[in-house]
Amino acid sequence: MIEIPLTYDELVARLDDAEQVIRTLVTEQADAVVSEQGVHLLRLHETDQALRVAKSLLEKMLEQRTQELADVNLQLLREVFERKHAERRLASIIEYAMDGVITVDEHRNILIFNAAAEKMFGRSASDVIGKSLDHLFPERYRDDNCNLILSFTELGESAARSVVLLVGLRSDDVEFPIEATISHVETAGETLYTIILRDVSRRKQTEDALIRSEKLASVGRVAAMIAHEINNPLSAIHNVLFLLGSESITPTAREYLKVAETEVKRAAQIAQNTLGLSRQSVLPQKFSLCEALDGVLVLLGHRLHAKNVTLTKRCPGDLEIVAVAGEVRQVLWNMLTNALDAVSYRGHIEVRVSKCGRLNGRADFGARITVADDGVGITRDALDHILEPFFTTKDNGTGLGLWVSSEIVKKHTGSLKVRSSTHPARHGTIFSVHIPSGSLAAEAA
Amino acid sequence: MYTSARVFAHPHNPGPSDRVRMVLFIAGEERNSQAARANLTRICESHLPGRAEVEVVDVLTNHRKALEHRVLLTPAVLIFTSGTPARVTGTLEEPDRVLSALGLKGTGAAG
Repeated sequence: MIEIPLTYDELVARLDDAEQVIRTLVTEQADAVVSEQGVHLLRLHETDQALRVAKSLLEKMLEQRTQELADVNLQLLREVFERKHAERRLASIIEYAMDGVITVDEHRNILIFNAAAEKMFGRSASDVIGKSLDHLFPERYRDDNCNLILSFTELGESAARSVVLLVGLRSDDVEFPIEATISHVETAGETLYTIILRDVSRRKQTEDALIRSEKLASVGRVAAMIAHEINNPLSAIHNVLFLLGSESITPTAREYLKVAETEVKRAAQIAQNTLGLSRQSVLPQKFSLCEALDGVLVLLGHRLHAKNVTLTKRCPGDLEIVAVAGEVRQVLWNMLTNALDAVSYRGHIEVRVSKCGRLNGRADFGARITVADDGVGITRDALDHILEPFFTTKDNGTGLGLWVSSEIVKKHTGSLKVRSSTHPARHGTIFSVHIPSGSLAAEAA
Repeated sequence: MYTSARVFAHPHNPGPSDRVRMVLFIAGEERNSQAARANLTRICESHLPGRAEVEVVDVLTNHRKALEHRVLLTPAVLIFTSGTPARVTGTLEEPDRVLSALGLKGTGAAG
């Protein structure tokens, strides 16, 4: 059986052996050849025989060496193939990992930058590989972040398993929070650091939104309390004004009294609506959609007036649906505030509420609410994401209004559709919501 | 099993950690084998006093031992240092080849 030399050095040693054997034979320093069959003595007077033995020995050695080399070659090829296969497998695991993976050397130069990292930072691997890790962090955090990563060697194993929070910098200069785990490995005399990154923007937004909604809830509670407290003096003022009207006063004073009464009524309505929002029932109930719409419009009256917006409203007064009134009010509020934000000064908003007839083959007396505006319109790209949470095109928007509205509509088994145009000649947006009547009540039953 | 093996060591300056083990393969009393034996003894005395441990194997009575070590030609000496044993074939008339194999001289090839 042929023994395959495992290392290059061993192979070289054997070739040296072969060379030595030949040299020894040529210089006649040999006196015996050893083979499986026994020992052949090589005396000087047996030169012919010696040469024959030597020749067959050399041929045998040559054949053996050739076979050994072929086997070594085959084994090397197999090893190379296996190594490449393993490398490819590892590379594809890293490449398609959900988390960003970045490997840097001790000089902070980037060696690996996977697809998730490309997406996260908005930079291609070919642009960043070989460059410093510094570029991935905002300037003011660079030293802190990089020192933190490189100091992991001193901090030891337990630190390497812990999660650190860093701030990343996208190619468009937007900063984003990153959760990172860092590990280091010593290989071929150099230290490599691998950083596994997760973009926690969404989670941070959710946390912020929770804090904000908690704040809003507190504000709502305070508003309800104030509304409740104001309601009593308003009733008193209303009564006093009524009594004053029955007194003999000048016609001008009566005019003033009328204005005062109207304003007091409006103030009472606002207080009532504020209380109504905070005391919303979560159960479906029968209510007038037009009254709900009017309630929302009263709250928006000041903003409509400030922007000099013309609002056209069409709503059949007898339209009643069975739904969660507070939630429908919220949908109306969100659609109308969006329209109000979109229109320019002296813009137009049209609200139409209509009864729905048959839908999906069943008698369904729900309602369709359409809010149209002649604002700037929504771009096609934004339109694809408009119902996603935290997506907003407004500078100070939460990105929750339309998402919450669509969730409410979905809960009522209704539908929400958006059409929009940014065409300079005919720009604007139409939100159309269908709310089936009594679908929740039927489900509850 | 081999019967013709004889071990001889140099008595001077014994240093257990520095001992060098060698196996010399010869073919009985053949001329080149005798020369190799004499040459190796000389090299050990001059360069490895008291540190060499040489085992002599006669292939005429024990050719299996030679095959085990892939020795196909006599005379030949195997030098056991760290790693793969180095080998020098021939009458060992050139001490440099043995000394190189022992790591005592230059970086030249052992052959």
